[in-house]
Amino acid sequence: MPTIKLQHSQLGDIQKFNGHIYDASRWVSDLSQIGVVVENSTDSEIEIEVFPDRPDLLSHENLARAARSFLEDVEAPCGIDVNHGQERMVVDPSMKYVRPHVFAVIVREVYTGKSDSAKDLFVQSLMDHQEKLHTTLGRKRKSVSIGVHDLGGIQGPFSVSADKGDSVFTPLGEEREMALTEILEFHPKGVEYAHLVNPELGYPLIRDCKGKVLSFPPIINGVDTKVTTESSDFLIDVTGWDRRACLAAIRLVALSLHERGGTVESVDVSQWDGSHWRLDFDPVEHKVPESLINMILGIEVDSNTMEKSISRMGGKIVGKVRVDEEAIGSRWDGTAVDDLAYLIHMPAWRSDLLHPVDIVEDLIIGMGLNSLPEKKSEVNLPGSPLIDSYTERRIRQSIRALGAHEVQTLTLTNDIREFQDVRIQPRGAVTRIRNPITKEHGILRQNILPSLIELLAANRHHELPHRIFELGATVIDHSNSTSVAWACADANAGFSTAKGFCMSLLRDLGADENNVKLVEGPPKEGPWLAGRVAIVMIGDAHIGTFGEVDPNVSFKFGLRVPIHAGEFYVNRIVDSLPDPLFR
Amino acid sequence: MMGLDNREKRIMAILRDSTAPLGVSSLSEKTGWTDQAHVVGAAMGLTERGLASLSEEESVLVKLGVEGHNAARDGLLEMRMLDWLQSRDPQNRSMASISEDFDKTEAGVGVGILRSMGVRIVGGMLEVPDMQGALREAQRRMAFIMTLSDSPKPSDELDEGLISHFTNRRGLIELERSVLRSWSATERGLSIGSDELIEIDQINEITPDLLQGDAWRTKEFKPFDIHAPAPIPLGGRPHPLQSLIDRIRAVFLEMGFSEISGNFVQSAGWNMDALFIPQDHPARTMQDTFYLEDPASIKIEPSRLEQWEGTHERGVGTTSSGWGGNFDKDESQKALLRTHTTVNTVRHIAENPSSPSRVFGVGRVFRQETIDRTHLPEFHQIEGIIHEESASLPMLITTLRTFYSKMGYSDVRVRPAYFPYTEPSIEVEILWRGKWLELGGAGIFRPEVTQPLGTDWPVCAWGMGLERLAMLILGLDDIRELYQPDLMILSKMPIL
Repeated sequence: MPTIKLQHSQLGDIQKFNGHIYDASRWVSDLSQIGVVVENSTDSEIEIEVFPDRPDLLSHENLARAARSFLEDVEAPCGIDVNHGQERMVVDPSMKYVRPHVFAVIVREVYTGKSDSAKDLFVQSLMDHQEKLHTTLGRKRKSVSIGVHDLGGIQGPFSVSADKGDSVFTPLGEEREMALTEILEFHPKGVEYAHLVNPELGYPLIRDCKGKVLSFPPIINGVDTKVTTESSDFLIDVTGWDRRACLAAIRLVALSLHERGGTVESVDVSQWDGSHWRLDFDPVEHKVPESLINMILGIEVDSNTMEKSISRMGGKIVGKVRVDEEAIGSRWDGTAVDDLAYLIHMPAWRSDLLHPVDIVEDLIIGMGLNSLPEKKSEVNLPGSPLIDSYTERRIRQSIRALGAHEVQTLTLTNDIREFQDVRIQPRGAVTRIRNPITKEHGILRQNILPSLIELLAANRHHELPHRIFELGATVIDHSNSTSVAWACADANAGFSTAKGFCMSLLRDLGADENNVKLVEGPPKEGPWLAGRVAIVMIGDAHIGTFGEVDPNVSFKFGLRVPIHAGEFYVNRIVDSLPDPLFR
Repeated sequence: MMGLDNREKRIMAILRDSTAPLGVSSLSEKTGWTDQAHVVGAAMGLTERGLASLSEEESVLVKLGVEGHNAARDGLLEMRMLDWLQSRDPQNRSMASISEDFDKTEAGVGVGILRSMGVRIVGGMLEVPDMQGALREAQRRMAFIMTLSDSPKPSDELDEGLISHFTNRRGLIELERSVLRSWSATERGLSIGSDELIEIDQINEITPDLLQGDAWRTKEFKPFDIHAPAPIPLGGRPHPLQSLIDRIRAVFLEMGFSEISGNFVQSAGWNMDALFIPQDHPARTMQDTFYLEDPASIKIEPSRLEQWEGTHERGVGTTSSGWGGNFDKDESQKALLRTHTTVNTVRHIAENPSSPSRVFGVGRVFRQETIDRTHLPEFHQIEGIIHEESASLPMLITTLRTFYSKMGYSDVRVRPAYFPYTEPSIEVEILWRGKWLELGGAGIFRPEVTQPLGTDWPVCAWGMGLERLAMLILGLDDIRELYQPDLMILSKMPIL
């Protein structure tokens, strides 16, 4: 989740510009209820974590605006007036497969601060805001990339087209002209984002009427339009692959500048398909059924509370309508024809509002989560555990009683530990990870015993004996299964102790001795010592194996102590030895 | 007159007969008591009464360290290296071959030791001018180690030069400083009459034989020193995570929730698309999620895929606008290790869309995390849902309060949060030892999640991690102590 650092001085300046007083202590104590996490506040700055669904809170100006409504109950209009501008931008059809969505807007006469240091901070925060939008909404510039330019010294109409790559311009951060291909190879931003352009389809370039390069999106802007402390009129361009995210981004940057007194002026963008587009800031009307509000909140909300809460979140209730056939798209929200629905205006930059339920969340945030009454479930349902959990508990109790200490080890393992070192053949398809972090953790285990031997090895510096066991998940043929295994490093124990463990477990599980058959295990298979391994059969079911571990195997783990062990398949135990209560 | 017990009487008698002060070991020997605590207890009792006087002398006990025990078993490094040198002709004693035959952690150190014993390195070859001398020295050192292999020895019984030699080598010996105590009889002690030191016949161990007869009726039972150390049995014990899981299961079951489980191997579709997590969401990348090579994909019925496509692109089936963009059905069918247990709850609703349910699950989930103090690539998640007609945010918060108070945390508060598949979303905080701690997330599943599953009702859901809670309770600062434990530390943890 993005974390932003905001300067107290900038916030103070912005609030003062808008006729308010910035109170850092209230931000620290109360702002988290708007749905952010106030991480830290120092003498100079406040650090805030913003949830990924609220990119509209990522700048000084935009968060200050939201805070005025939320903390001070300031009723702010949900829309912004946009002047119909004369500038034009023409998008060439070559952009269709390069970066198909292209938008632009102008903001003039922006107040950037009184002192040079304030102006410096403004320029820096404008850059930071873009970067945060790039990483969140923009999915690291793939979906959205933003350019902000000083409007002085450039002239429309602007053109946007795909270039072959041989054009040259001086990118930000360099002092000489570079070809586009050169930028991709040598400029730090070029190297970082080269994967986002396709040389075969061309490189996007935005130019002014004289051919001056404004930007090579999504890589870098040109130096000619660099924003400085002198800038006050700005051109914002946004290009990308995700139309919704692009529109959100251009509105959020423009909103930030508007909050500093800037006048927003639309640019006529003629798209590659011939259509024309101009930015508007009209509020978006959402239809939120009363029944949905009542259902989610479990209470009826009076219209006064509604109005106040929505206003705190920057919206406005403009009326109430009856739901008609057309409005009912869903069953979940329980609306029926003739239900009443609120008509609610929310700012266009709130791109996170996909469904009326998103407005309901805003409403409850506006009301305060702690205002809700108590409410208990109304359905009477008995709770039942997983049926196997009874047997699992009985097995655990039985093995604990033998003095074995329960452990939990990782399910992730590798072929060498799991199969090769212990001479075990896979019992079915092995689940294999395509992008493991280390070779050590590339597959899921089919047995628990190898992990136990490894754990004994890690503890070899301690005095003997060590008796451990684990009951847990294994994965065979990509399906979960359950196994239980023990391993004991004990100077005074061997096969007969292992047999004792097995017989004790079978007794505790209520096995009939006459049905238990021990079969000599095959030599050189599994970690076992030939002649000291027994397969446990109940009827035709092989429920487990126990014996002494072959020193050749334990040496591979770095162990030089006698080990007896066993592994049993819990699913087969459940089938072969029914629970005495259910029998 | 003195009210001495039998032990004190015996020690007093010994001290009276001795001309020199006696220490713990000689008193043990003379009394025949194996438990030194008896000796010390009785002697201190006499001291307190002014019958014996105590003198204390500092001493140093020398014992083998871990490396020392290894050396006692395998031989000292210089011993093994000299053996190695002797086993080869002088022209084969090269530095290169020594690094081949010895572990790299040993080779360098060992050559250093040999050089201090007079071995020279000339042109990459090891030369031993005085093999016999070197062997004698090595044997002398070996003998020293063997002296200590049975039990520690006081430093004054050992060669001072060798003590200082081995102190400078890592892990071979450890010096334990202790105080040697000895006692002698005082004037008052010497003046006690012999008849006063006659021991009364006391019963020590109660045996079945003893109780068969009647003799015990006239004897005294010896009082034991309740402060004497006793061996602490190491029985079989549950793992703290398992105990915690059992307690959490009990809470859910008491509250009328039924347990569900599911496979680790899942499709991206059920793990992510069904939860309306957009396909370009950062958590879906290879940096966050384990995708599988085998199985590479899991088939999902076409109707389900079309449904997800519609919901993601345009919000079909809901009043949502959807995410826009293009939905990739192949992406849905990629196989992965589940990243949350929510995949179980969602599948449960899909299978039971029209019956009310309260279910929970505790299970392992997998994330692309490098192992460190606070991260593991697999960990446990706990999750519960309520699916019923009147499910609502107040019902969720009320249930959370009940759940956490049954867990032992009665102060619960909530604040807004964000999760991709719930709306509204809330963060749960509990008051833990005076501090507010985030202990879980909760919310109501988005309509884009539940409506395509075919349910008419809201679903309240909440979840939390198990390991963080276990670490808090046990005071651990390293999650590996739970999964890759030092068994001694694990065996000292309380049973939860």
